[in-house]
Amino acid sequence: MLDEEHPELAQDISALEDKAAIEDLLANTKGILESLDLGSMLTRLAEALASLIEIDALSLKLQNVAEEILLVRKSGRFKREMVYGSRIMGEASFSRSAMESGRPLVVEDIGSDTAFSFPSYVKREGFRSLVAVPLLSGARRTGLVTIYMRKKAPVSSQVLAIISIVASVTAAAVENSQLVRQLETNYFSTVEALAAAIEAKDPYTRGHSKRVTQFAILLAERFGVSDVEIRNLRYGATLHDIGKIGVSGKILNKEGRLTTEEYEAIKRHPAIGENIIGRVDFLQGARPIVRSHHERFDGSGYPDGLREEEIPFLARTVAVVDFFDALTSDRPYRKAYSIEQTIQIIRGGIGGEFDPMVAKEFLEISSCLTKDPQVSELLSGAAAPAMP
Amino acid sequence: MARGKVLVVDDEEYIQHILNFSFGAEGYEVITAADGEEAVTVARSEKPDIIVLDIMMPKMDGYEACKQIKADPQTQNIPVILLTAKGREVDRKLGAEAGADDYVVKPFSPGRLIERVEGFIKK
Repeated sequence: MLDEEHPELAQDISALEDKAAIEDLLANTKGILESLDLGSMLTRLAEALASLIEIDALSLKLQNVAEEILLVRKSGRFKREMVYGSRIMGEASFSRSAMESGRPLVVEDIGSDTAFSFPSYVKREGFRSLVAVPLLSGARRTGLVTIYMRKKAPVSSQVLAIISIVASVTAAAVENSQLVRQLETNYFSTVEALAAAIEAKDPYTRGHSKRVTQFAILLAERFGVSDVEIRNLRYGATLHDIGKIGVSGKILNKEGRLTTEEYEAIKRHPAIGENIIGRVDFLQGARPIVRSHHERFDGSGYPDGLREEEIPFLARTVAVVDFFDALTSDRPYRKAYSIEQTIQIIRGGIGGEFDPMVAKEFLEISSCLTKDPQVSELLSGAAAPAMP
Repeated sequence: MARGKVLVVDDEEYIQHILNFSFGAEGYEVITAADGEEAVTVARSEKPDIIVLDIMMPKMDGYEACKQIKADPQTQNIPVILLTAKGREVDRKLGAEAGADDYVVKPFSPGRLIERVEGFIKK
């Protein structure tokens, strides 16, 4: 690829003397292709690059993404910062020009250049020259890699050759990570469609899984759970009631009191749900949430009668949020409870039905749900006492 | 003194609550609007530092509201973050054409959204 695009440069690479540094670069390049986190992979790459050529910063800007990843070398190490674009499409004119031409652009003396505009960090950091290389993926231009030098120096063909390698590898990695993200979006759309299918069977629950998911993410984030866990929660909360597909609509929509048999049928939905998603590879992390979202902190829940820490943490968060949303919605057999009433009921269930730590955090969050100053005062009071 | 004023535009009340809480906890002042028309009016009268705008709304959708905000000299410099339930290329393109500065896919992580907002407000 390099030979086709820059035949004159291929020779220069062999002229590089520092073999170890080149090996280092190649090793890091391989790492790039395997990595999906563009920020950390670029940092590794920048460090490897800097041992070969004198660069002071490297930036990656993707098409249609507002922020730009900028790595600036400070005392030998590359420090990563995010630069937030002013517009998705609008950028400094040098990058627009490089993107339009699809060819590398060299500005040897930024200070005396009058043809282009540059991002504000260029002046702040004192960059004197730059090389910008568009990322190509087939005919599409997916982004731009720019390297900056603080010293004003003619850009050698060696530098150009190396940044071209970096750009083509980065282009592949970008493509890769975007495919993965696209796949994730498609997965989630499918999962949402499934959730909508359950809700179609039970019109009273329209929007329920969406609300539960969004609130549960908010709650879980307050406990600092990892990105992977948030992803599992997103799937698990969206699908927490999927097992209701296996419960008769007559029972779900019954207006009067349920018989023992009918209640037993409803109690089967978490296990049915886990069973349904258990066959799907990307939903494995969501299984404990679906199975255990009706467990109660004191061990009186179903299907397994788990208690306290035995109940997966994310299932404990979904339990509180699910309860809240169910009570504040109309049901065939009752009208919705008010937010204030529901909050009081959750307070009463701390340590019994609900995990105290999770429920207290939820109550603090929900103080914004009520306009009643008396209740919100009560709520901020509720969060204050120390836990036993 | 608030760290900034955020206009949250969403017809779904629970999203308003979530954002009200998340931004409020981080020291931002939050004002809300429930549809696109109201968003354009409130943007003019309140001059928020940033607007978080849902796409699917009654009366006027988020794209149209964004276009009008970006066409008005009084409000065109206010950054706009679109909330989209779709997250596909075509929506990004529409968002870019409407002049949006960034977008976030629902259901979103409030922490991430706040990071983005901070990025814009710091500028």
